[in-house]
Order: sequence, then structure tokens, then C-alpha cells
Amino acid sequence: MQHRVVYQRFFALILVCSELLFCRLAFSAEDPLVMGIFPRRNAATTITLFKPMAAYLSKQLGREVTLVTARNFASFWKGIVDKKYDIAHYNQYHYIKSHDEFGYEVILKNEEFGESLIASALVVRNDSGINTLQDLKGKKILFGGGPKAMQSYIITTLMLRRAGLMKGDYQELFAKNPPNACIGVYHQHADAAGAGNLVVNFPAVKNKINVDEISFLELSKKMEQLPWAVKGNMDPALKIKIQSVLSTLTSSEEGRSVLKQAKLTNLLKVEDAQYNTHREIIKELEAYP
Amino acid sequence: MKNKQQTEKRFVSLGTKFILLVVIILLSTMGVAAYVNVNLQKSSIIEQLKAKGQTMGSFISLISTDAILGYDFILLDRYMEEISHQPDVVYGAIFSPKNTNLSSYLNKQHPYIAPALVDNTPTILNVIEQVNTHEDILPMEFAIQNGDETIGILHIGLSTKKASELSKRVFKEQLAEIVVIILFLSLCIYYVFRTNVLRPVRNLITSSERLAIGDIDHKASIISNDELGTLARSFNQMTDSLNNSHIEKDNVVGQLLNANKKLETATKAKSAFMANMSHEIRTPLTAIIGFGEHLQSPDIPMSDRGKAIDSIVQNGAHLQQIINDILDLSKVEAEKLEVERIEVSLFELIKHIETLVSIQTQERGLTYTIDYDFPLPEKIITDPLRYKQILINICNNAIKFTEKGGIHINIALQQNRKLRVDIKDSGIGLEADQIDRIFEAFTQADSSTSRKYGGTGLGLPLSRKLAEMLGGNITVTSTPGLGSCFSIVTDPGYIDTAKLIDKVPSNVHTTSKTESDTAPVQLSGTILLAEDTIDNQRLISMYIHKVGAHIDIANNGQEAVDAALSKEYDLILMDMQMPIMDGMQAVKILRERSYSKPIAALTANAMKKDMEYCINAGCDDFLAKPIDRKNLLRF
Repeated sequence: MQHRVVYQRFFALILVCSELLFCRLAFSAEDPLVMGIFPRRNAATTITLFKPMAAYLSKQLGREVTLVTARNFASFWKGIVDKKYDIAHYNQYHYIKSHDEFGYEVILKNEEFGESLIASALVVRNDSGINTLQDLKGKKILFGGGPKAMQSYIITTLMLRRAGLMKGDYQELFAKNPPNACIGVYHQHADAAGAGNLVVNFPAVKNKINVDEISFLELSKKMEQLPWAVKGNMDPALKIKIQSVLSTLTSSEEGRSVLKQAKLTNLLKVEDAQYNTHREIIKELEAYP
Repeated sequence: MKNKQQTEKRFVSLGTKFILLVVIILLSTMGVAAYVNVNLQKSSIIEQLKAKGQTMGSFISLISTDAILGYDFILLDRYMEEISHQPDVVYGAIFSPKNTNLSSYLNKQHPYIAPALVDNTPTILNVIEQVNTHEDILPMEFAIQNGDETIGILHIGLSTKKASELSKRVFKEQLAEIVVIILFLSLCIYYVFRTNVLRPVRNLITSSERLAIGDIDHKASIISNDELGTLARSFNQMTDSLNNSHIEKDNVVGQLLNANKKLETATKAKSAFMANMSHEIRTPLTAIIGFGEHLQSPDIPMSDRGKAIDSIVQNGAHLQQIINDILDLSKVEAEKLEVERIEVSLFELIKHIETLVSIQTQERGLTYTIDYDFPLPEKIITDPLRYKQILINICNNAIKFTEKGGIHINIALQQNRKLRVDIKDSGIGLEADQIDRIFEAFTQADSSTSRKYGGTGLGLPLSRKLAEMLGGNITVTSTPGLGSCFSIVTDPGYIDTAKLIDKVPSNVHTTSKTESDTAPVQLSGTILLAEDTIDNQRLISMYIHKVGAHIDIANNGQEAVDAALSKEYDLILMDMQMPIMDGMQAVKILRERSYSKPIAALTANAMKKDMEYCINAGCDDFLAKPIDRKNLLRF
């Protein structure tokens, strides 16, 4: 009887060890998590900013995390289409489209300069003589990013539509990104810029131009910041784990360093419903000819 | 003044000048080389800078296209920031085609930028234009193209100041190196120069200075085998020459002193001679004139008349001898006397001397002996007249200076085949110093000798000269008070040993008066005498008349020519020196007019040269004055 108990315990130990070993091997055999960051800034800068975050996440998950970016929005979007990214950080428009078409689920949003909400703005030089949106008729408007830029283009264009300016009433120009749009206006390469309201806080802008010489012609209401999403088929536990790790960065010195490096003040948990405003805006804009 | 200034110029040594020259040449050469090198380096650095700017500008203009097209000013700023990290970049700026600044970088630390920003609202373009006015700014422009469209212009300003500073630093470093190299090379060159040039030159200077203070025996060291070595050798040759010159000068001075001494002696001797000659000439003249005047008296007995005439003839002959000696000696000294070489009988010649000497020794009560050291040549080749003249002179002297005892003659053939005649007397003898002087012309043993014994002092000098001309000499050994021995050595010519004889030949005879000398001469025909002197006209007329010939007289050459051409003569006796026309010219005229009869010249100029002149002028013979009757009648 005693021998039987001994044998049972021995086999139980063997099973436990085998399971542990199997699990370990199974974990080791998992593909790396791919973290795709949209080219809000140039690729090199993007990699520099987010590399610590990827490393931190990898460390916390016990799983390799590969950081990727793209040369431009189109290339990045192709990665979405190909479901290449396990974790994606992009603008609100990209998220809505990826969610609707490819099942990406938002888990986090940015907090920049202490603000988790962001408004869109049309920026003009103080000395431009432009006081209303209608004054922009026939002018050159330099939008940050491209036609897919939520804050810089979609929302600001809707603002223009709502003000009665249709397509063709002004000349659309596209800067590399919102800061460049503001700088371009400052340097009078265009009459107005479409960008998020926080752009004037960016060092890239503040250190280049005298922001006091520009101002917001019109501001939208504040909406959710840039989202972080995961594949829709991701293991929920992993999804939660990722959300947990990244949303608690401020609680550790290492996490704060990661945020600082990424030029963020925090990452906050968020749900898909919080981006419905953006869905409506997109829908409304698409309704215009 | 200028010369004074020149002479007062500060002494600068050859070494200093050379080292200065070397330093100047090296400094200028290497300085120029360094300057060129530095400029080349500077150009190279600037070219590198240009290339660097070109590469940088081309690259940035290429990558800026997308940034401009995307209004990516931040990226453009990053590019400018990248440019700012590059050394030597003073500014970088990107402008739109409308010169709107898209991005810029200004090195505000650069000294050209700050002043350009003083303006209140300077545009970037203004700043760039202002900065570009500086020479050490290298402005570059690059077009930013989007296809064929220019969408921007990149301006880059590079500072060449560092290149200039680098060049200056390199130049300074090279200059320092050059100074060290020049110093080293100069020292090396100076060492070589000092060893090979200065040392020999200083050696020469030392030698010349020693020469200047009279050290003519000092020799310059020959240090190098080059021009300076040659110069040193020449210097030594010069000192040798100078030394020799000094020796020669001393010799010449010595000779001159000796000559002067001799001249003084000779002058004294000549004065004495003149006095003596005066005595010697006046003495026979006194007798000649005195006896001649005495004969003018009609009451002189015939016995006294004969003695008077003998005295006149003897003194005349003595006077002639004196004059002949003087003439002969003057000929010898003028090297005009010539001797002939004919074969004569030695024994006949000695016999003739013996005849003359024996008569005089007998008259003076002296003995006379003669010895022959056989074998002797029967014949010798000599000038019999001059040889006899020597022997007679010596014998006459021996007789003159011998009061008692006698004269002994010894004849021998020396081993060297020279004929030696020793004439030994037992006379007064000679002191050693007197022996040295008796062969000098116009000199006798002492002045008292001439007073006591008479004589011109010409005999012995003339005899020695003649003996020398006959291939020998005269030497004397003498003991004062005991006598002297004069040895006359002459060259007897080639002697055939087979013809040497051991005794006096039996057929030897003295030259006796020939029949023609003693027999009265009878002539016929007519003779023309051209003579301007009345006494000579009378004397010669007397000689001619006495032998039976007829004589006409012409008083000068012209009369002689006229007479000869108008009348036929058997002989013309033509005096050479006559008034109106001299004999020489008269003879020439006659010969030119084909006058073929014999003409004999009469002249007191008895030199051989005079005789040749006469013969060349057309004379057939020559007769010296005073006229010797026998010679005259020989014609």
C-alpha cells in the first residue's frame, strides 16, 4: 500500500515536471509579439523612442517583442491589412478601420503632456488677417500627415465643411506631420495648418518657431488620444497582461523612463466605445461630396 | 673721400660672407619651397574642403527632396543640425525657389555670424550674403531637384580659416624645421668650406704676412690639391723666385761691388796706364824729335848723324810696337782679333825666338839655355805670328826683369797633348797678389815697376788673351827675389804620334833676310800716288824714285780719278782718307769706269774690317801706315 502511494507520488512528480518542461518549451516556441508603431515621426526616431517600451514589455511578458515601424502611413497600413502587428499604435482613424475590418481591439490610449484627450485645430499666423474659417476660402491649408490623419485632417476638414468650405474652396497641402504643418504656416508656406492642439507643445515646434506668433483659428471638442490596439484573436490573458503592463508604467521607475523615452506621460486603459465619436466624425465627413 | 670710406669699411671675413651667403641662399630657397609647399597644402586642404562640401551638399540636397515635398521642416532642420556638426561649416540653409527659407543653421559662435545678426530683422539670406563677403568663406550652392523641377536651394558656407590656420601652423613648423636644417646644413657647409677653402686661404694669408715682414724662406703649406693648392704652389714658387732674386740681387750687388771695385782699380790702372803710356810714348817721341832736330844742324859729324838716325829708327819702331800692342789688345777685348791656323815647324819657330832672345841676353850679360822634352811634334798647327808674339813678349819681360842669372826655356808636350813652353828667369820675381794682377790690362806688378822697368803693362794681358785664343793659357809661378816661371800652354792641333821626334831636326834654320830683302830693288813704270799729306808724298816718292820707278802725285781722290783716267799707270797707291773725294769713292768711280789696273789702298786704319772695306771697294791690296818700305816695294 505504502509502495503504491510512493509510486503514485513519483508519477505525479514526473507529470508535474513534464508539464512544466512542456510549458516552458511551448513558451519558447511562441512567435515573437510584433509591436507596430505608425510613422508619426520618422522611422529612426520612432524606433529610438519605443525600443525601451518593447524591451520592457518583452521582459514583463517573458516573450520576445519585435518593434517595427514603416516609412509611411501606406506601408504601415499594409502591415495592418496583413495582420502583421500583434500590438499596433496608430491614429484613431486607423484604429477604427482596423477594428471594423480586421478586428483589432483597443486596449490603451496615449496621455501626452498630461492630456489624454486631444482637440483638432486650424492654426494660422497671428498676422495672417484670417479670423474665421470662412477666411480660409481660396487659401492654402497645410495638413499634418495625410488624408488619413484623424486629428490633423479628418476632424479639421469636417470643421471646414461644417463652416461651409467644400473641397476645392481651398488648396490642400500635406506636411509630413502636424508639427511641420505648424512650422510651415509659421514660415508662411501655407495660410493655415491642420493639426492637433497639443502640437504647439511639442519641442519640435516650440524650439523651432515662436509659437506666440501663431494661434488656433478654430478648435474641435476634445476626443480620445491615439490608441494602442491588439489583434482581435489575441489570447485574452495576453491582452490583459499587455494592457496591465503598459498601463502601469508610471508605477515603476523603469516604466516612467520608458514613457519619457516615448515622449508620453502615461498610457491609459480605454475601450472601443470611447472612439465612437471618431466613428461618427468619419461617417459625417464621408457623407460630404 | 670715397676711397677713404672704402678702405675704412669694416672687415668682414670670407667665412662670415660665405656662411651669410649660404644661409641666404638656403633660407630663400627653402623659404620659397616651404611657401610653395604650404600654399599647395592650403590649396589641397581647400580642395578637400570643397570636396567635402560638395559631398555633403549633394547628399543633403538629395535627401531633402522628400522633406521639402512633405513640408518636413523638422527633418530639414535635422539635416541642418547634421551640417552644424560638421567642422568648418559656418552656415547651412535651404531656401525655396522663391528664396523663402525652409530651414537654416547659423554658427552663432563664428565671428562673421554675430556681426551679421546685429541688424534688427536680418533675413537668413542677408546674413549669408554678408558672411560670404569674407575671403575665408567658401560659399556653395546646391539645387534640390524633384525630377527636372528645382524645389529648393541648399546654401552651405565653409570656413577656410582652419585651412589657413593649418597652413600657417604648418608653415611655422616647417619654418622651424627649415631653420634647424639650415643651421645644420650651414654648419656642415661651413665646416667643409673652412677645411677646404678657409684653412688654405688663411695659411696663404699667414704666409703672405710672413713674406711681408721679410721671411722669404717661409713656405705655404699645400693643404689641398685644387686651385688653392695650385695657388699655394705658385706662392711657394714666387717665394723661391723672390729668394733666388734676392740671392741674385745679392750676387749682382756683390758683382757690382766687385765690378765697381775693379772699375775703380781699372780706372786707377788706366790713369796710371795713361801716365805710363804718356811716358812710354813721349820717351821715344822725345828721342825721335830730339834726334830729328839735332840732324837739322849742318855741323853734325857723320858718326853722330848715324847714331841719331839709328835712335830715331829704333824709337820709331818702339813707338810702333806700343801702338800695335794697344791696337791688338783693343781688338782682343772687342773680340775682333782673329787667329789663323796653319801648319808650321815648331823648331823653326823656337829657333827664331831663340835668335832674338839670345841677342838680348848677350847684350845684358845674361845666360840663355833651352831644353826640349822629347818626343815633340815636328809640326804644329797654330798662328805663328801670334804664337811668336806671345813668346817674344814673355821673353822680353823675363829679360827686362832679370838683372843677373839668365833665361831658361823648356819645351814639352803635356800628356793632354798640349804644347807647353816654360820661360824661366832669375829676375825679381812676383808676390802672390801681384801674380793675380799682372794679367790685367794696364796693370803691372806695381807702379814702381813701370817707373823702374818701363813698359805699358799690355804685354802680359795681350799674351794671355792670345794664348787663350790659341787653345791654351799662361800660368805663372814665382818666388819674389828668385825669379819667375811663365808657362805658355797652347793647342798644337792634331798630333800624329807617329810623327813625334826625339831630337831637333837637322834642317832647322831661322828666318833670315831673304835675298829680296837685302838686294837692291829696281822697278820701272809709272805709279800714281794719291795722298794729301806732303810728308807721306815725299817719303813714298823717295822710296819709289830710289828703286827707279816714276811717280805722279794726286792731292785728293778727284785728282786721282782724273789722272788715272787721263794717263795710264801701272799701279795706284790710294790713301783712303783725303779731302774733296776720299780714296774709297775714287776707287769705286774708277772701277765703275772699268779701270782695270791695280790699286793698293793706303790707310792708317789697320783693322781687318778696314782691309775688307778696301777690297770690297775695288782695291787689289792693302798697305797699312806707317808705310813699311819693304812692304811697299813688295808691290
